[in-house]
Amino acid sequence: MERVGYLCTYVPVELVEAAGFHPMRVIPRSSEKDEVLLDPNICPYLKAVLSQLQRESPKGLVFINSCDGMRRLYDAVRWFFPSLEVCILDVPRSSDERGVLYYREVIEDFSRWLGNLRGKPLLEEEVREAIARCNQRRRALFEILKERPRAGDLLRALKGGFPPKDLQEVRLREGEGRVKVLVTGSLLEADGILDWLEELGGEVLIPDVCSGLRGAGYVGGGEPFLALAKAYLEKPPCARMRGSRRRLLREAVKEVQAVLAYIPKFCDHYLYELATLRGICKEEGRPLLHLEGEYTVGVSEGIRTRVQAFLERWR
Amino acid sequence: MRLLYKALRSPNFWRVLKPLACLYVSRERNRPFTLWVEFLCWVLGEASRRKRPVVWINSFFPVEFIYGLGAVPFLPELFSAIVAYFNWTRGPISKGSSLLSTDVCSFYRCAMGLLDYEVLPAPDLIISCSQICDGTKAFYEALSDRTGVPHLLLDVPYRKDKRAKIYVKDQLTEIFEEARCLLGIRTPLGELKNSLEISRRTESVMREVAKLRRAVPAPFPGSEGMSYVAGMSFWSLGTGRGLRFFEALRDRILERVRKSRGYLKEERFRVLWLHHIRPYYPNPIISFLNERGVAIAYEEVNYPWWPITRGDDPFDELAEKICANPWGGPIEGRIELVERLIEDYRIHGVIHFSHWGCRQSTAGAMVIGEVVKGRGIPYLILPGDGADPDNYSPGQTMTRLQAFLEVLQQRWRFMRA
Repeated sequence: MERVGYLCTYVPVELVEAAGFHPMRVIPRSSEKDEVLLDPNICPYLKAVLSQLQRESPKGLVFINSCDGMRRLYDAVRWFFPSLEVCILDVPRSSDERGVLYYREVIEDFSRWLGNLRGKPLLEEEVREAIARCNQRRRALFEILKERPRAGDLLRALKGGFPPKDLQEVRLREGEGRVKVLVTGSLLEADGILDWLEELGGEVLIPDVCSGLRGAGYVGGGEPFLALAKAYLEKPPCARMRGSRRRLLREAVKEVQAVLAYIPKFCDHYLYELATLRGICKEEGRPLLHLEGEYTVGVSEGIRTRVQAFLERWR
Repeated sequence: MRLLYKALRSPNFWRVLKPLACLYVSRERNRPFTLWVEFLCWVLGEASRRKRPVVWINSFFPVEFIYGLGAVPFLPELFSAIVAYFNWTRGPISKGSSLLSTDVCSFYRCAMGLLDYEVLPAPDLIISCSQICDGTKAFYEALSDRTGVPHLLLDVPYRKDKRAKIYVKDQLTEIFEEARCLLGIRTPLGELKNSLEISRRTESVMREVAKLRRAVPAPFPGSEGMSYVAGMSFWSLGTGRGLRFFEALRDRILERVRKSRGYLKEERFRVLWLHHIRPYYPNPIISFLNERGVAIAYEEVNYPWWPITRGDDPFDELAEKICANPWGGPIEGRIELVERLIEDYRIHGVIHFSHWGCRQSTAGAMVIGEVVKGRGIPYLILPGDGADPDNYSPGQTMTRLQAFLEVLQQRWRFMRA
């Protein structure tokens, strides 16, 4: 099956599946980065994506208007990889009715793009079937979430895309009395951090990261494009979005004993959110550890030491 | 220092400062600059007087909307640039960096620090729009969290089609109503129409200025274009003061053009400066260029890119303007602008200033460079920082500029041969 890559959780993967492509979440496994085609002060994830595209390229690549870096990556890919089929989805920042209607139109255009890519338009029936399949996978995921899965395993399963196709490798957590930790940020490529946290006696409640549980919930019935727009705009929001993010962050902080913010270098949305997060943690009396990610994939000794020292206070 | 900080928030300080500062700068016989100083004292005085509500906005939010609302606009980014001009940013930036990160825009870090120093006039409302960069949403939201003042966001789509314009227009209509409600004012819509009418007249003068600046030799320094001229276009549109400033600027440039006088004694090369800013703290970049006969003939920030509009619906007009912004949306808009500027201003070389912490502009620098170099025009990416003097490497900067100058000279010799 031909693959269509996508770079953000706001891409409705149902449509990619409906078009008969395999939706592939682009999270490079190599820490190799292209340092030439983008400015040095751009997010390392985007540079890693550029580097991966030089080694292998999918049938098509779907971007989201999610951040300045992503927009410029889209420009650079069009410029430097002209033969690659690309598309950018203009996701609004608000999930109100106006935003949903706007995104519905964008999604409809996206379905046309996919139709052109495969050579025939998408049928409504195909879209409905794909929605039903994805909802089934969501059900399986939500079931396993009730049983306290290990966060590192979960993150690895989700790296393939949301909702995940395979949850067999996800082990359940053992033992009680662990230190509850909120892990927040954008893309957490170094899933080993979560294993390390749990080995040291931590318990990651929800990995609030773009490669974690930020995918859309169940897609409802009715007109499929509208249902997709609604589900994707109402999913757990990232820092780019307006609305409920602040409230959800505060609620999550209240539920844990410690907060770990893993933010890739130059990721503006989360670096600005850091000021707010610091304020919330101070008010709620929760310690906060800020780790700066450089898309290293592995966990560096420096990070291990900092995480260890951070959890030391509960020993 | 604390006394100075306190004074900056006092209306009496600005009342006393205004005539003194205007008298002092008038010695330079630069009427537009005097008008800028007068405007600054007026607007900051109004913001401290607090007779009208103070609304914080980002640079690319249409300021005429705020005047039309009957409020006083305050632009934290521009205020940071002014602080940088006096080389006072180190303290606030250090404070702001402890709250945010050293990797985000230094103008925002500086503003965050200044907020903590209690230097800035307290806001009654914060409004920002998202078409330029992520910071315009995220930073203003962070300010809202810290000040406890509501933040209204104008979400500007990436696309520029009809649907996008309607999406923006509907939000503008709502924001106007919501702002009036939050601020407890009932300014009639006619005020906004008046403000837009003045803005249209000013924009027409701005177009004349842009046309006059095509003259060879360059009649007006781009370095000043990126300081107080850009400041006035962001802060004063929709006011009589703004109109008078641009008329004075036009007259000053016209006089020079008539006399065929350039701003340099001898102009050898004409360069285009890309990015909205330059380093504002004391640095030798501009004097280096001036001494070697390199004129900054034009700067990206001042080009009047918006369409000429006239309609009964002010929100329609503003939406049209906002969506036309070449720095929003795909990079083709910016490429088209750069190519036009190269042609119109007979450019020999292009400098792209890459401000640390700015993703929207710098991330496109390589693609823009491909286009410029494709036309056989030398192109320099100059990394630096607009507000943070500690993030500026004089040695590296001068080496790059020297090399760029050599390329310009070589190309000139080649063309001559």
